Formats: sequence, C-alpha cells, structure tokens
Amino acid sequence: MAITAIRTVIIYIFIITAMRVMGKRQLGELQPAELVVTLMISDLAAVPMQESGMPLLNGLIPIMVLVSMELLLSGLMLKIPFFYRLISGRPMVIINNGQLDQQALRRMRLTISDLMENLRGQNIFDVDQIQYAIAETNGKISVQLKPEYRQPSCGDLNAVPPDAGVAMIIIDDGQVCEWAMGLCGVDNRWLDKTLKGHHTRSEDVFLMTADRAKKYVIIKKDAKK
Amino acid sequence: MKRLIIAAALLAAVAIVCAVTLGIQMNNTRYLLNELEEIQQALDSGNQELCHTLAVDFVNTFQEKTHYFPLFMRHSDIQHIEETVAPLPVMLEVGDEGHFAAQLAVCRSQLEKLFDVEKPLTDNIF
Repeated sequence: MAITAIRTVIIYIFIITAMRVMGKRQLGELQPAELVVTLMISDLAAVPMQESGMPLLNGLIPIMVLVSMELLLSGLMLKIPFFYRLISGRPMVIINNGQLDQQALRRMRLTISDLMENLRGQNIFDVDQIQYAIAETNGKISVQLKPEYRQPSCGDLNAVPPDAGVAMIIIDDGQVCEWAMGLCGVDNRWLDKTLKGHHTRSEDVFLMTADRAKKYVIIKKDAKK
Repeated sequence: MKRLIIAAALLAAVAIVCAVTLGIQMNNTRYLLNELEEIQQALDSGNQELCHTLAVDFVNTFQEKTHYFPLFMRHSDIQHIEETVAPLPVMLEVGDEGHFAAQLAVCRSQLEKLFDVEKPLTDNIF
C-alpha cells in the first residue's frame, strides 16, 4: 500500500511538471493532437500507480516521450505552417454571408441538430441572425451575427469611456501583490496612504483591487470570533 | 526555442535510459547464460560435486545480477525465472538429476527470452 502511495506522489509531481513544461496551450482549448497527448498521459500515469508489479520507469518513460513529441510538434507547427495544417486542419466556414453551406456540414459530419445545439449554447436561437459561422480547428464554432442583431459598442454610440485598465488584486488575504501594483501604476506610498485613509493595515485587508485610474475597492477581513 | 531544447533534452534522456537499461539487461543475462552453460557441461561430464557447487553459485549470482532488473522490467517476468532457478541445487541434493536437467533447460529458455525481450526488434515492437 505504501508503495502505491509513494508512486502516486512521484507520478503526481511528474505529471504536474510535464503539464507545466507543455505550457498553457495544454490547459486551454485543445487541438486534436494535444487532446490525444493529454488523454494518453492520464491513462499511462494510472497504470504504474495501480500496479506495483510494474516498474515506475515503464510509466514515466512513455510520458517523457509524449511530452517531448508534443513540444517538438508544437514547435514545428509554430515554425512551419504546413505542419499546423496537417495536424490541426483548417477552420471551415459553415455559414457564409448568411448562407448555410450544407456540403461543409457534411464534410465535417456535423448534423444540423449539432449546429443548432452549439448555437443555442451561444444564446443564438435563430440561424437567420447569423452572417458568418466558422468551425475552428479546436471544434468550437465562432459566430458573427448580422449587423442588425449585433450589440452596439461604445464606439458605435460615440460614448467611449476613459480606459481605466483592468482592476487587479492588490491585496489578497493580507498579502500585497507587488506585480499587480506595477500593472496598475501604483506604488507602496499610494497603498500606505490609501490604507491609512481607511484606518487599516494590509494584514487586515481581505481583498483590495485597483485599476489604472486608481479607483479601488477594499474589503476588510471579518473580525475573528 | 527553450521548449524545443527541453524536448530534445528529454528525448536524449529517454534514449540514454533505454540504452543503459538494455545494456545492463543484456550483459547480465549473457553472463547468466554462460554460467548455465558451465553447469550443463559439468552435468554432461557426470561431475556431480562441481555441478552442485556451480548450481549454488548460480542461485547467488542470479540474485546479484538481476538485482536492478525490477527497476525497468515487470516484476512478474523476473519472478518466474527466480522460481525456476531457486530449486536447482535442491534437486541435485536429493539426487533428482532427471528433473534437474529439465529445470536447467527451462531456465535457459527463460533467460534466452529475457535476453531478447527488450531488444528493439520488429518482433518485440509489434
């Protein structure tokens, strides 16, 4: 039993390292090749964890090979467009300028029910509202609505608000995040002054966010019972 | 570029591990097969005492030479051969030469398979 536990810890650390080495692509929308690698790694890792009669190396070596193949392939896909097309394919236009391309649907083996289900998932219930629908290489369907159905933007309304950037977490459960302060263009002096104005210290703050316009929100920690 | 270097380093590490384990396995198995050959010769020449001494030595050598095999081979594969090797001296002690010869042949066959099992041959790959 102890062997299984120790092996699980080793494999866990190994897989975490492998996923970290493979990068953020592996954690987001997966391309076909990436999906295959992820599935295979999870399967390979499970076997030596359960079977103590199997050498740990038999599980780790294939994972190392898969990780390196995935890295090499993604490197090649980045440098040589031919590899990208070969492995990931091309995006396919399903609705072109309001016209449903039935042949494209057939080529993708996608039924109209599948398409409608996907569109409903994006809050689109009427296919007539769509100007373009494109099946991406990762299987997602991107949609652009006809101009009359699109949400107007601030630019359309000539009412552009000032850009205050993104509100970043400056204090997270008492811990000051210097990195986020840099992004918001604030410094420790501003932080000290602001906290003093609220009669508090960073250790007593549960959450503090701020943006580039120096607009901030402070939530103090609950008093301990 | 950094990730490509990591990929190349990983592949190189895998190649080294594979080559080292294959080398250890083949060298040690070849050594054991040679020892078995010596036992067979002693048996054929009717030298019971030498045969028994060699058989006892072989059991110890087997333990020593296969000590690191479980790191890269299925434990059950080695255990099967171990079960064949262990009773060899006992068979001679009780005068069961017929079974001893048969057990020796089984042991040789198992070691020959072990010698080939990790070789990157078409038979093993597919």
